[in-house]
Amino acid sequence: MADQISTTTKKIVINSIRGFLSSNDALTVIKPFIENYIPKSQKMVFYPYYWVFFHYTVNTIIGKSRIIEASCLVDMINNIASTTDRFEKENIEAVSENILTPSIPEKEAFKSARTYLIHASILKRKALLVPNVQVMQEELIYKPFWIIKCTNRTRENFNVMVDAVSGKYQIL
Amino acid sequence: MSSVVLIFLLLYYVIVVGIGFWAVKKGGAKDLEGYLLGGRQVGPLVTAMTLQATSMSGYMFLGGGSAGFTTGYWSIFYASGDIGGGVVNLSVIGRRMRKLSKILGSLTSIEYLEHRYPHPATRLIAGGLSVFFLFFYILAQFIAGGKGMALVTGLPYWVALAIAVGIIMIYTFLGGYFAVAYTDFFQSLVMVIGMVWIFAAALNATGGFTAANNAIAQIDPTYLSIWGKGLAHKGAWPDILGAVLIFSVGYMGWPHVVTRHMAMKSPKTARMAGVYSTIWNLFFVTAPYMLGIFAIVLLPNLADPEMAIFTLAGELLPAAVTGIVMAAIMAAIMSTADSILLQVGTIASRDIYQRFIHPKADDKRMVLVSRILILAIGVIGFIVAVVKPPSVFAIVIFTTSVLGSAFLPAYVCAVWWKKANTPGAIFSMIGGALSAYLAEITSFVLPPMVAGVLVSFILMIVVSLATQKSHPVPSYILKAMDLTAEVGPIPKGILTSAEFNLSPEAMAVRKKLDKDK
Repeated sequence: MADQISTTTKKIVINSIRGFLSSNDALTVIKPFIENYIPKSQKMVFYPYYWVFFHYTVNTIIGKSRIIEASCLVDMINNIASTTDRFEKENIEAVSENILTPSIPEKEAFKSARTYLIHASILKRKALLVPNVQVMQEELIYKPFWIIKCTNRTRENFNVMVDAVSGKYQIL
Repeated sequence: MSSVVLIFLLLYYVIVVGIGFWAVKKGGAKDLEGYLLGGRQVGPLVTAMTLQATSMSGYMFLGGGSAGFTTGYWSIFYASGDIGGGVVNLSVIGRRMRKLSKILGSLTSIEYLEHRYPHPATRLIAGGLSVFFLFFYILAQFIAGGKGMALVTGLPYWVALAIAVGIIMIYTFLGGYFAVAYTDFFQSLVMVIGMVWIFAAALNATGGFTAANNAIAQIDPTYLSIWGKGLAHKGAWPDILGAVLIFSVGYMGWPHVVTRHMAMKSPKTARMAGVYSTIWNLFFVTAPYMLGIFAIVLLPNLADPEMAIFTLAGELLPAAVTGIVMAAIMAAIMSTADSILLQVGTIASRDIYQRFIHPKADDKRMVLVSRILILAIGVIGFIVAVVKPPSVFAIVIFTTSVLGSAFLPAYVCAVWWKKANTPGAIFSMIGGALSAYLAEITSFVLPPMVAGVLVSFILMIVVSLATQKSHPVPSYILKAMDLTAEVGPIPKGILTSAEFNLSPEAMAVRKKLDKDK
C-alpha cells in the first residue's frame, strides 16, 4: 500500500480508482436535492477495497464456453463483496488521515470475492454451472469519496459522501 | 393452431438457439454483467422495456387473463396491488429495508432475516417456508408452459408439459450462457410489440372501451361491478383488501445480486428510465386482466379461461406474428421458472444445506445440492401438473398469500420497530403461514392474506413484548436501525435519492469522521 512516505507532511502514495468527479461536480450532483442548504466541500477520503479480477469459463453440453471476465470489489471494513464495472487506476498522494484503514485480512477478502463471484455468476447468468475460475489480478485499492457539509441559515447541518467515480451519494 | 404459427414459432427458437450456440463459443458477452453494446450504454427506454419484459411470467399470461375472464372488473384490484407493490418497493419502507440489508452485509433475503433476528431457527424457518411454497409458484409456470405449448403445437397436454418442463430444466442448468443480451433484447421487443398489438387488436375488435363494456353488460352486467361477477364480493371489504395486498406486499423476499460500483450514469438518464418504467408498468400490469375482460365478449365460448390471451392472439394476430409472439411468451414463462428455480436452489444450498448440514461444503457441492433439489422439483412438479393441475391463478394467489403472511411483519418490523425480536419473528412467520394456509383450505370468512397478515402481526407484537427481557434486540442491530431512519433536518429530496448501496461505507466513514473530531 504505502510506496513512499513523505517526511514533511503525512502523505502516503496509494493505489486508487480514478475518480472523475471534481469537488465542484460533487456539489453540483447534490445541489438539486438539498433545498435551501448550502453545500461546501470538506475533503476527499479514500475507502479501502480489495479488488479481484477473474477470468472464468463454464463447461456446457457443447463444450467449454469462451472466457468471461468478472471484476469484484470487497469492502475491506464491512467485508461486503459486489461486482464492479471496469475502472482506471492511478497512484496518488493522499493525506494519511483521510485514508480509512482496512479491518479484514486480504485473504478473507479474497475468499469473499470468490464466493460472491460464484453466487453472482449463477444468478446473473441464470445457469447452475460452477465456473472454472482463474485469478488474473488482485490487490488492495482505494476509492475516493468527497465529503460535503450542507448547512442552512439556522446553522443546521448534515454531511453527505459523494462517490467520485459514479456520482452516487449517501447521507453520513 | 395453424401450421404457419408452428413454423414461425420453430423458426424463432432455431434463431434464438443458434445465437445461443454462437454466444457460448464465440460471441457471447465477455464479462459477467453481459451487457448489450459494451456496457450500460443502452438508453432509458430500452432499459425500461427490457426490465418490464423480464418480469412477465406465466401468471400474467394465464392467471391474469383467467381472472379478468371469470370475474370481470373485480380482477383490477389484483392489478392495483401489483402496481402499488412497485410504489411500496420504492418508498421509504423499501429503501430502509434495502439499507439495513446492506449495513448487515446480507447476501440473500433469508440471510438478512437471520442477521436481523439472530438465531439459526430464523434461517431454517424462513428458508424452509420459501423453498416449500416457491415450489407452488414454479408449478404454476410448469402448467402455464405446458398449456401454452399444447395450444400452439396441438400435442396432448401431458406431452406438451413434458417438453415444457424439460426445456425449463435444461435452461436452468445451462441457460444463461446461451442467452445473451441480444436475445433478451429481441425477446423483450417481440413481447412488448406483441402485447401492444394484441391489446390494440382486441380494442378494435370490440369497438373500443365503451362498446366493449356495453357488450359485456348485455352478457352479464355484474362483470362491470367492482364486486365481481354475480356480485360475489359485495360489501366484502376484507376480500378487496386481500386482493390488493396480494401483490403489493406479497413479493417480499427475493434473493438479489447487486452491482454496486457502477460507472457514472447521468441523473437524467436514470430519471427517464424511472418514468418509462412506471408507464410500462401501468400498461403491462393491467393489460392481461383487461384482455381477459375483452375475451368475455370476443371468446364467449372459451372452455379454459386460462387460455384467454393465447386464444385472443391466435384469433386477432396474423399467423406468422402469432407464432413469434407465442414463442416469446413461452420464453418468458421459461425464463421466470428458471429464475425461481435458481433462487430456490440458492436458498436450499446456501441457507439450509451449508448453514445447517455441511458448513464446510464447497461451491461444487452446493451446486450439486441445488441441482438435486431442482431435479426433484421438476419430477414432482410434472407429476402434480399431469395428475391434478390446479389453476395458475389459484396457485399464485395461494403462494403469495402464504409467503406474504409469513414474511410481511418480519420485514416491516425489522426496520420500523426496535422491539421486534427473534422469538416474535419466529412465531409470526410460523403463525402467519399457518393461518393463511388454514384460511385457504377451510374457506374462512376472511381471505387468507388478510387472516394471515393479521395473525402474523399480532404474534409479532405479543411475543416480542412478552420476551423483551429474555431476548432483547442486540445493540448493534439497534444502531444499524438508527442509521436507516430519517434524521431531520435533512431534506426529503436527498434522502429519497441517496444510494442505499453505499450505506455500509457511509457507516464506516461516519465512524471515522466522529473519531477524528
